[in-house]
Amino acid sequence: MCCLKSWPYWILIVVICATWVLPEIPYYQDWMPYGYELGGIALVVMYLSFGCWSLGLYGFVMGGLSWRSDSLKSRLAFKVGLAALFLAIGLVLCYLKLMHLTLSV
Amino acid sequence: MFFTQSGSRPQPISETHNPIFLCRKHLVQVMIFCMAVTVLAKWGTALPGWRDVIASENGPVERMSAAIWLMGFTWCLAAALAQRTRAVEWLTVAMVLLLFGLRELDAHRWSTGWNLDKLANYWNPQFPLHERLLVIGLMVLPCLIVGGVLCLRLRKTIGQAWFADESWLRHLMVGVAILVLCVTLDKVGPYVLPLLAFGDFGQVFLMEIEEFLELVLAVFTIASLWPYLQKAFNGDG
Repeated sequence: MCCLKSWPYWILIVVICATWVLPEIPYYQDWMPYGYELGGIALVVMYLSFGCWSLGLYGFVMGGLSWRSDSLKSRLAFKVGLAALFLAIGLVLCYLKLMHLTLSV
Repeated sequence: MFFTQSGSRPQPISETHNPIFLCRKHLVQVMIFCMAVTVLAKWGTALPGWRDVIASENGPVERMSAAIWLMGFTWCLAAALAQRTRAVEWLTVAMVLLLFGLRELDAHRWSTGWNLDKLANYWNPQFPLHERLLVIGLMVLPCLIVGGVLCLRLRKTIGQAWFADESWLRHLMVGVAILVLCVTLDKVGPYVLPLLAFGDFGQVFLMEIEEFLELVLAVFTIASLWPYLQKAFNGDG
């Protein structure tokens, strides 16, 4: 369980998202629409959501691991994790809206 | 055996706490991790060659680098909220990571349609004045302020860290060295290669090394920040 506290696991989540998940998401194109078409911003938002997914999972796992030993630490980790997961969902919805707007113009 | 002076008696310290050893260990771990994920990306995607995986624009390695920089940005923002006593430091580091991530995604080219990196473009009448002023007001000035704050904060601690031989300073120096190497390969390489008569192969090879080093830099930055991020999320300090 202690190994879950090291960085490779949490970076690996982001790596998997960027390599395999990103090309599969709706509206994704290899070459994003640039300029004022919001496509580039949508892509940045999607990348930010990957960081939030990994932070959210980290918060939940660390909160769970320190549940018995330290309730204060555990509560902080859960709080960070929950906020990050909500933010990740919001960012994905934002990406979809931005891409929808871009392609409907 | 390494010693540190504590009071009058020298105290032996273990190899794992030696800054040089720690920095080297992190760099080796990061290199192995980056090689592993690059091989995994080649194996797991249907891309035909290494060039498509490593050196292509918007290829897996470039996407990974950008995602890791932006991951660092979100984690540092969360650390600023979790560790209020170090909020300024975390916010400035987050801004730096965001800039690196956006640069990796070529935001300096697509955000306005003209290259924000080229200084000459700022007084080029070909581009609308309001755009140039907006970029200066919303990007250049905030970046200068953030850079200034970061430099001020670093200046206070860098001298102490140098004499105390602290680990973060070694990590910072290695990071800067990798960054300088990347910039040199990117800017100087194309001019040197024709002189060495390496041709197209040399160009691609150089691009592959540069993109890979950019990935190493992104991962190394997160690995260096990791103990401090953990401290912040544990509610220490």
